[in-house]
Amino acid sequence: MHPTSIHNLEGAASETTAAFSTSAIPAASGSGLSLAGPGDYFALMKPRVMSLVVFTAICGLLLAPGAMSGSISLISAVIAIFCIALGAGASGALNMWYDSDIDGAMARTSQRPIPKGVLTPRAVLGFGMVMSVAAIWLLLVATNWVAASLLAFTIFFYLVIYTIWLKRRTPQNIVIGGAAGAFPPMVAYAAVTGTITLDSVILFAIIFFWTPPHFWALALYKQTDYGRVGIPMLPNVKGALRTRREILFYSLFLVALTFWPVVSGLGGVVYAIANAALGGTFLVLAWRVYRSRAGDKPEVTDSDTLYAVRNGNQAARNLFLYSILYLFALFAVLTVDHLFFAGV
Amino acid sequence: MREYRNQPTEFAAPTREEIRARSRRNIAIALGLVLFLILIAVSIVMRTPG
Repeated sequence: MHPTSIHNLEGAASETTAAFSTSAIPAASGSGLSLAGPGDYFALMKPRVMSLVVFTAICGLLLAPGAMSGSISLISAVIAIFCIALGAGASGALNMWYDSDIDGAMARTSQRPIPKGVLTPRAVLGFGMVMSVAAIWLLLVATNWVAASLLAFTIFFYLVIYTIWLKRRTPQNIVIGGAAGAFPPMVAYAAVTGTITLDSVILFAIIFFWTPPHFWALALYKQTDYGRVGIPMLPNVKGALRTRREILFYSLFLVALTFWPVVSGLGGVVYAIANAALGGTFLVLAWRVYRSRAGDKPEVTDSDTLYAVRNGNQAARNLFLYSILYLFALFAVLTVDHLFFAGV
Repeated sequence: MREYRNQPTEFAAPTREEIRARSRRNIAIALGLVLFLILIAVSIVMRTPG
C-alpha cells in the first residue's frame, strides 16, 4: 500500500475513533469490545447452585462401594467432582442463555450477566457449549463412559427437557426438571463403580422429591415475579392452596423415602436418628406452610390483612431456607454414618 | 482497479478498560486451557496400567 494511503486511513481512523468514543457508542463500551471479566463468566455458572451440586456429588462418590478402598484414585475422584461442577456450571450458563429474554424482568435474576448487558447471549451460548464438552470429555478420560454419559444426559435434560421444553409450558416444570439437579450424586457414584445401582437411584430420588417443596416454597412468595414473565409456576396456575397441599404431600413422601437408606444398609442408626430429627422439622415447617396463607392474595388491603399475608409468606420462606440446610445435613449425616459407623 | 471492499475504513480504538478486560479474559482462557490439558494428561497417566 502507498504510504499516503496509510496516512489517509490513519487519519480516518483517528476521526472515527473520536466519534466512537464520544457519541456513537455508550461511554461504558468504547469500541464494542466486551468489558466482561472472568468473574462475569463465573457468575454464569450459578456458583450457589453449584455448591449444592458439588456437595451432593462428593457424598455420592464417598457412598459408592469401593470409594475408600482403591476403586478410584484420589486424583481421579477430585477430577470427577471437578467435571460434575463444570457440567453443572455449563448447564447454568446454557440456562441463562435461553432465559435471557425473561431474566431481566425478574428481580431475582435481573443482575445476571446478560440482562446486565455485560455479556451477549451468543457469547454465553458458546461458553456453555465449550464448558459442557470439556466437562464430559474430561470425565470420560478420567473415569468411565457411564459417568460421562450420565453427565451428558444431565446437561441435555437441564437445557432441553427443563429449560426449553417444560419451564414455560407446565406448572409441573420443576417436578420433572428437578431430575437434572438429582443426577450429580448418581454421576459421582457411577464414576467409582461404572454402573447404576439401587443405592445411587435412592440418592437421586431423595433430591428429586426434595425439589418440589423446595422450589414451590420459593414460588409462594415470589409468584409475582414468575407470573410477570409468564412462567407457569404452580401457585400462579393452580393457586396457593393447591401448592401448599402439594408441598405437604411431597414433604411426606420425601421424609418417608429418606428412611430407605436404613433399609438398604447405606445408612445406619446414626443416620436413622438424625434423619428422624431433620425430617420431623421439615414436616413441621411444611405443615406450617400448609396452615398458613402463604401466596394468598390479600382480599382487603388494610394493614392487618397485609400483615397476615406477610406472616404466611414467612412460613414459606422458613421452609425454603430450611430445605437447603436439610439437604446438606441429610447427605452429610448419611455419608459420615456410612463411612465411620455403618461400615463399608 | 483497486478493490477496497475488504479494507476497513472505520476504526474504533478500545478504551483502557476494554483492553484490561480483554487481557483478563485472555489470561483466564490460557490458564483454563493449561489446566484442562494437565487434567487430561494426569487422567491418562492415572488410568494407564503399570
